[in-house]
Amino acid sequence: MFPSRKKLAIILATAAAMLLAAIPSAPASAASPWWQVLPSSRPANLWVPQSLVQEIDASDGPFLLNVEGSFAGLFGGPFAEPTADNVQAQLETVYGAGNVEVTGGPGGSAPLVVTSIGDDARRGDIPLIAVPFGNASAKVVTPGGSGRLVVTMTNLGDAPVDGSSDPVTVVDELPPGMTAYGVAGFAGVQNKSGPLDCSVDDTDLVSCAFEGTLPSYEALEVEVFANLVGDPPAVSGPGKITVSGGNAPSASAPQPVKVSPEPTSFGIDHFSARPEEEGGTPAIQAGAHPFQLTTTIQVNSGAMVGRSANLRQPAMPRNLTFPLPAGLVGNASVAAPCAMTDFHEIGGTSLTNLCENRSAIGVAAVTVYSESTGFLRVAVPTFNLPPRNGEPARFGFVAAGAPVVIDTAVDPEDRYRVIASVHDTTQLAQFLGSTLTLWGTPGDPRHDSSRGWGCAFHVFDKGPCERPNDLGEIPFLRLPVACDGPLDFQAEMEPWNVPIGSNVQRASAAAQGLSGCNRVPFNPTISADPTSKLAAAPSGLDFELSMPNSGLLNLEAIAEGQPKKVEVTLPEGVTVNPSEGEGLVGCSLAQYQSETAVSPSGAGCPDASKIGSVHLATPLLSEEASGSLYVATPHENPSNTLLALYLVARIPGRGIVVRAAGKVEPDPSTGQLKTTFDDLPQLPFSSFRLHFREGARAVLVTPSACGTYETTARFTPWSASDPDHPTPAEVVTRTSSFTIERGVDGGACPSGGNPPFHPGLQAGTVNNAAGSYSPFNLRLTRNDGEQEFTNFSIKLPPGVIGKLAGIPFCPDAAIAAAKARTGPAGAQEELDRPSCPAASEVGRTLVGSGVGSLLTYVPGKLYLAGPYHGSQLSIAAITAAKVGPFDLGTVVIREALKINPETAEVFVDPTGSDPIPHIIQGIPVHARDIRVYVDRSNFVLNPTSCQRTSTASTVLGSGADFAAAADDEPFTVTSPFQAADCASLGMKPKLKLQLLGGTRRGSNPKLRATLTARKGDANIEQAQVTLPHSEFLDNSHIKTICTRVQFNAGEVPGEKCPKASIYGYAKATTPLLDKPIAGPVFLRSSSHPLPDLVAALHSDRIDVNLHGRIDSFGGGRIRTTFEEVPDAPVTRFVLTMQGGKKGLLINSTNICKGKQRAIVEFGGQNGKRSLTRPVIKPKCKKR
Amino acid sequence: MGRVRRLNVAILVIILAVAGTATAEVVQVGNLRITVLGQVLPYKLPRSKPAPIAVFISGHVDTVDGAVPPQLQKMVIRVNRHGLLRSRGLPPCTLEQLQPGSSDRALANCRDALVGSGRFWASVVFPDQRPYPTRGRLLVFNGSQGGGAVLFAHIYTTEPFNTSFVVTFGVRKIRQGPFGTELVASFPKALGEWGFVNRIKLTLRRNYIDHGQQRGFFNAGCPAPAGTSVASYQLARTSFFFSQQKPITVGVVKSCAVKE
Repeated sequence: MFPSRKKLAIILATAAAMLLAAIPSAPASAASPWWQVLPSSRPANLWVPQSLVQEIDASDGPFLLNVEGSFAGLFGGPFAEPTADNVQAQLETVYGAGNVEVTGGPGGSAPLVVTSIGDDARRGDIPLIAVPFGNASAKVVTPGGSGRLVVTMTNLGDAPVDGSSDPVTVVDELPPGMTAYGVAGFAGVQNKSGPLDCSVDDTDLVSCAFEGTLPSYEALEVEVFANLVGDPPAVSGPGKITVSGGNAPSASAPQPVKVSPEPTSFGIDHFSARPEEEGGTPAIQAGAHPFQLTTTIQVNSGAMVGRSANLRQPAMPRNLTFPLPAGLVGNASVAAPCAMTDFHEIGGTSLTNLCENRSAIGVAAVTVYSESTGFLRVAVPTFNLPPRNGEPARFGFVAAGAPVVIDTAVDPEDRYRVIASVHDTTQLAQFLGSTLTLWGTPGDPRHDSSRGWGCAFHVFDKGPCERPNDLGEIPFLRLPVACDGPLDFQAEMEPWNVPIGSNVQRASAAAQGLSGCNRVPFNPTISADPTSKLAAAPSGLDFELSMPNSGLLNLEAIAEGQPKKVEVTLPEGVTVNPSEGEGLVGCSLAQYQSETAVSPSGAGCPDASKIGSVHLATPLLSEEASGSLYVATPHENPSNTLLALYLVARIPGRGIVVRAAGKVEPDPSTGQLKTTFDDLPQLPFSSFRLHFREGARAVLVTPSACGTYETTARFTPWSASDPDHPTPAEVVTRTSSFTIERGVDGGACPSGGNPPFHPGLQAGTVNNAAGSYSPFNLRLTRNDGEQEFTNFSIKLPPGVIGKLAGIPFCPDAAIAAAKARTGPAGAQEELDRPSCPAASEVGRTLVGSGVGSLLTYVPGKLYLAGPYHGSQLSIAAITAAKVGPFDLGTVVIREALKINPETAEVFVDPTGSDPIPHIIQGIPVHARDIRVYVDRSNFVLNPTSCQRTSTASTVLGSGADFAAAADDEPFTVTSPFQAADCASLGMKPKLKLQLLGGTRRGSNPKLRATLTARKGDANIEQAQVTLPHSEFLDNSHIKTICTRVQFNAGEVPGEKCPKASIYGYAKATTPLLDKPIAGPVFLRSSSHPLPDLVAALHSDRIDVNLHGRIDSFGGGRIRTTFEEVPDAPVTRFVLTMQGGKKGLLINSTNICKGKQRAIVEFGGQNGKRSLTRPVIKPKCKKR
Repeated sequence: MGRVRRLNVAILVIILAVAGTATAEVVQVGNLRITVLGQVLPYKLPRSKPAPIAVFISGHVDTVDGAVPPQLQKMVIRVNRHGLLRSRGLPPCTLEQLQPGSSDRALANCRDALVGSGRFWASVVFPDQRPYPTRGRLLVFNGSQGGGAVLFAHIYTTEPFNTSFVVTFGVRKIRQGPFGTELVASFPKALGEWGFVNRIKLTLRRNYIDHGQQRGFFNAGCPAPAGTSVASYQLARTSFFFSQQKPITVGVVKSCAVKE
């Protein structure tokens, strides 16, 4: 039956090869035991020793007293009468007189009450207890003594403790203030590894010896019966427990006790956790795969009496929850899950289930208590289980026949910590504590000796301890990749006896912090591609972040680090598309936070806030997490910024939701976008794919020129020495390039230099009937890819003017208030409470912004305002810039309105006007369609001239560079305009001329000319008055002439003229103004042979200069011609020229002799003319 | 009075400056140039007794660089004692009869006092305004003002519009020295602030009958020394006062032949 030599050689060679093959993956250190020393006490709160009170119920006949297994007497029936005295006398023979007192009875009619008194009795557990004889029974009414100090020493190693060759010694130096009066020891489950021989060497010293073999995860347990001393009792410090021998490193632990008269409450007596390397040293390499992770929890123990007495726990634990340190993750896919049916198939006597060894991922040592079994500490295998729907992983074990399922979850609210929890713990036994060890790499052969029922369970023989053949060695646990302090383990526990949530006990354990972060590999890569390769086009974006994970899957490697912070800076030129906002709504923080792993679409963030999709792949799971990108409600997001993103990805079946809030920061001057995601989970992922939506409402705009553009991503790894403040060397930068290949709409690439600029203009009144009121509309447009608007002038057609009468100015303070509305809700405030009074409103605007075929239109209002930058009038265009969820505040563009004082033409003066903002809060406006509707009723008046004219605009393009004015490019566009039906207008003004003052020859009379125009007539274009021969010019009275320079020097025409150059006064009444417009009449230098007679009419709103050219006609008659009278309605005009010493006229004859006729000719704006020869009537004395 | 009038040869300023010669007298000071051209007829005059004469004058004020010359503000003319101005028998005219009014109206009112006529050219220069030229008719009237003898130079133009003004030459007698009469005119008062006379072209001649005898308003003799038939002597000296400039004085030398 023995193999042949050849076969043997083959077998040996194969074995050797297998061994060699195993060597590279085998750990360097050898298997060994090591101790976990865990002290506690029963009860958890120790106090003064109590007298033991026991009750003997012998109502049904004789009974026998048994003390510590020895016969102590028979009572009742034929035996001694069961009176209190008889029983006391008999017990005193055992304990001595004065140490016991018996009351009640006699037996059979009433219970006998046995109280141990004196010091001995107060040891706490007089081993009295009647052995029932017949139906008699005994019970402990009140336990005695202070309690028991319990020490549990577990072999957490991967080899058994061998006390046979190296005896194990346990020494318990009691806390000062406690005295021991007894001790018991147990080795392994049900003392199967025993004996553990213990003795009270002194009142404060207990020692034990163990010479057996203690398998892995089994424990030595020592119970020391002890009393507190002193009044009140106190301890001056912890005791000390030392365990040595057994081929394990010596271990010791302090032995604190809680001294309190309060009854022990429900709570956690002890909680500890730590990742370990083989040999028991802490695992501290960040990103590494530890040998194992051991978590121990022990509940507060109640009081008990004797080994056979009941343990009185405050309450039974129901739910236990263990939030693990952030970044501590497990890859449950490495172990084959045990089917739940097999898990729950628990043998009634074997106390095991059908899970196979290949599913084992660790060992749980659980301590339970029940009246039937007493204390039971049992080590059982822990299995990987198939997760139920909604959880990432599931584990479980069966302790004392009770299944315990450990569910897991990932908490998005707390750094994506993995949370392990046990719900509805069995009530069949009191759970007192557990030590759960999960292996770092379940397939690691070093765990073979504890793998599964066959190896780890020692209550019954469960068959061979074998390693499955196909077991891989892929790591299960990965330590966090950050070195940011102690590992924070937490535990929560709540009992059965109160409603859930009403009594949650918490404990935390800080394991040694990790180090070696500089050894954690970190090598992310990115790719960023716009969905459109056309210039200046709306575009989505595909962004992918890839992370290698080879270390995660390699037992001996350090797993790759994860980014804590990612800053992605898109290339300059890629900006937010203003069109994006149309129809978009913001996702509120509450909505975002309500996103769960299973929330349906729209239940959290509304669908209308979705701007893209996200896919996240992790090597831990076979499924990808997928979800959406949402626009966060501006300024109500974690970064409190205008632009912010919410990323929500979920795997509903795993109960995983990944939420991340990103901050988007546009450069205020260029619009370049930087997006930052911080505090990303330490969960390992292999790729992060973001897709921002494309199409007309795409979120981005591509650069306006062809070329190659580079996206830069800066990563701060969790493994940085201080992830919140990384050093430059720790920040990893990656780039990705893309190319814009074609021009706008797929055309040729724009050439270098300034982009083209061919704006369009449409302007005119809606109803062009001459002399009638009509809304005036203006539309300025440009194409994609062209230069942005920066400013523009508008020159309205002559005669297209506004009726200012009855319209108050919007106060400067109100406009300033509107400008100040730049806050998060600035636009909404303007919408709710307009800054300017409605009475000042003269029209509205509609500005279309964006790129591509769909623009976002934002309405605004136009208000009449006062002086601005040298203009007497201005228009305040106030736009509440609110698009979708984006409130960009209130944008005020104030246009300086100049009324040409010579022609009354309305001119929007770009030099005094605010520029068109091309970027608001970092969002390029891309204004392409500016519509102006001046539609206040009876405001804009058509001319009475039907000459062909036009609206002209010089539009300033931004050039290639928004910010630089040097490359701005003007482009003049016109829109034809012509009023209609001028011929229907009449033209019959009346002029009355008067010479006042001296009538004799040589007198200098005053001249008054009064013009009256009919309503509905065409406006006057020309007026010419020729004085009679009688009137000479008095040269000697021409004292001073106002130069043109002087005339134009002041804010008001003529303001700087010498007073002596004033020779008259004029006043015009027009329906366009509330008050007449009036002013002095100057002799002002001109380009004519003679100085002009200029009436500088002024009001608080407009100035008009009427230029009269002076010459002669018909042999020297003084003639004044107003050749270019503005096309504006004037109902009355009075010109008064001074007489006397300032009179320019001098009578060359007595004007009372004969009729003095003037020649008056008017030309209407509509071409009609009027010629009259009015008689000048001087005030002559009556004869 | 009559003697005084004989000396009141105001308007002869330039006449006398050039009398007897047809060549122009040019005086240039700096940029300013004054050109005077004139002739006195007849050439032969009695040696001892002044006879009526006619004076043709042309005066021109300009600048070398073409700029508008400074404004002539005042002119003072001193006339040699051999030149006589005789107004006896001529009715004087008053300023009120002349101004304001056209030439026709002036003649209508004072035709009998007319002693000369011609034309004038002037520039009106307002600040910041291109100078505009004006021209018109020039009439010289024997006048009286404030009880004193004056000459009224009445100027009327219709270009660019009806206007008239009068330059009044005050006449003062000088008792000592070679000059016996001084004529003084202040121009701004007449021309206003802005007038600049450029040129005058004038004929002064007025013969009339007084008490049955032929008389002339302008008279002169030829003061040739005994034994000679021709004479040359300084008849007048004229000082021009311009704004912002020192006065320019032109001495006038006359030659004549003795009418035997």
